[in-house]
Amino acid sequence: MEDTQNNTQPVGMPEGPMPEMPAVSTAPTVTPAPSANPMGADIIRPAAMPQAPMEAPVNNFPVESSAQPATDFNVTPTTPAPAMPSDSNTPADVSPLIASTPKTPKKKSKALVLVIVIVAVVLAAAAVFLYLNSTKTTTKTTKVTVASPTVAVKPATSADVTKLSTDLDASIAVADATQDITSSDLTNTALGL
Amino acid sequence: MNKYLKRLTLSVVALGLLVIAPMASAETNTTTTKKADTTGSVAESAIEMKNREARLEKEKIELKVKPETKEVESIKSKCKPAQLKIKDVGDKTELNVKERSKAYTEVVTKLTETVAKLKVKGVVTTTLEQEIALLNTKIALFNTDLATYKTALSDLKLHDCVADPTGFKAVLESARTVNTKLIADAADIKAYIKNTIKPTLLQIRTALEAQEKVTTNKESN
Repeated sequence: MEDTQNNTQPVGMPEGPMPEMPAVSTAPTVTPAPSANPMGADIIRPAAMPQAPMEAPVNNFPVESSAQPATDFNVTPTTPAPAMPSDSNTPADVSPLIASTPKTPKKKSKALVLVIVIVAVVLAAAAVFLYLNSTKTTTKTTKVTVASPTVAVKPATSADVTKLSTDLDASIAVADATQDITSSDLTNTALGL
Repeated sequence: MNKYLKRLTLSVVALGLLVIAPMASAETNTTTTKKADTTGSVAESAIEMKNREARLEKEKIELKVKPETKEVESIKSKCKPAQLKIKDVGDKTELNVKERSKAYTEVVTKLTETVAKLKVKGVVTTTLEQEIALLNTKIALFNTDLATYKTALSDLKLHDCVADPTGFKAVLESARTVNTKLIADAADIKAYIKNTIKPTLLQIRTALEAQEKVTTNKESN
C-alpha cells in the first residue's frame, strides 16, 4: 500500500507543496499515471472510472479544492474558489466528475416537454377537426337544398312527348313484373291450411 | 424543473380531458338515447299490441261466416306452419313493392317535368295536370291499402292462432280482402296511365308536331 500512496502524485498539478489531503477522501478520486507505477499491482481505482482520460480533469478542476474547505486542510488554492450554491454541502468523497452529469436529465426533461407539447397540439387538432367535420356536414346539406331550384327548363318537343310515352310503358312493365302482390299469396293452398 | 414538469403534465391532462369529456358525454348521450329508443320501442310494441287486439275484435265482428268446429281444429293444427309462410309473403311484399313504388314515382316525376317543359313551349296542359292529380290520388290509395295489407300480415304472423283460431281466421279474411283491393288498385293505376294519360299525351304530341311543321315551313320559306 505504500507504493499506492506514493503514486497518487497528480500529473497535471503545479509543482509545490501538496495539500495534506485525507487519505480516505482522495484515494478513490485521484488516478495515478500509469507510467508512475512501476509495479502496477496495488493501485486501487474506482470501478466506474476510466483510466487515462480522467487524469487531467480530475487534477485541474478547481472545484475539488473548494469543495473541501481550505481551513480543514490548510491549503491556499492558486485560483479563487467559485462560490458553490446549495451543492456546497456535497460529501467530500464525491468525484468532481459527477458535477457534469446533471446535463443528461436536463436533456431528458426537454424531450419530455417536447413530447407533452406535441400531444397537446395533437389533441387540440383532433378537437378542431371533429368540430369542422360536424360543421361541414351541415353546410353540405344546406348547399344541396339551395342548389336544386336553379335548373333551367327547356321547352318540350314532340320527341320529348314520344319519349315520355315510351318511358311510361316501361314503368308500367316494371310495376307489373314486381310480383309483389299476387292473388295466390294468401290462399288456403298457398298457406297449407 | 420537476415542478415545471408536473404543472405541464397537469395542463396536458386537463386539456385532454377538455377534448375527451365532450366526446364521452356525446357518446353517453347517444347511449342514453338508444336506451330510451329501446324502451320507447318496447312501449310502442305494448301500444301496438293493444291496437292489434282492437283490430282483431273489429275483424271478428265483421267476420260474416264463423268457422265450424272442424275448420277450427284444422286451423289449430296447421296455423303455425302457415304463419311462417305468411312471414315469407310479408317479406316478399316488402322487398318487391319498393320497385313498384319507384316506378310510380318515376311516372309522376316524368309527367310533371314534361308539363313544365310544355308550359315553356306554350302548350295548354290543364287536362294533363288534372290527370296527374288523379293519378297521384290513385297512387296514394294504393299506398294506404298497402299499409293496411302489411299490418294485416303482421297481425297474422303475431296472432296466437292455436289459442284463438277464430281470430286468426278473421284476420286472414281481412288480409285477403286487402290483397284483392291492392291488386285492383294496381290494375286501376295501370289502366289509367294506358287509357287516359297516354291518349292525352298523344294529343299533345300531335299538336306539337303540327306546331313544329309550321315552324319548319316558315323557316324554309
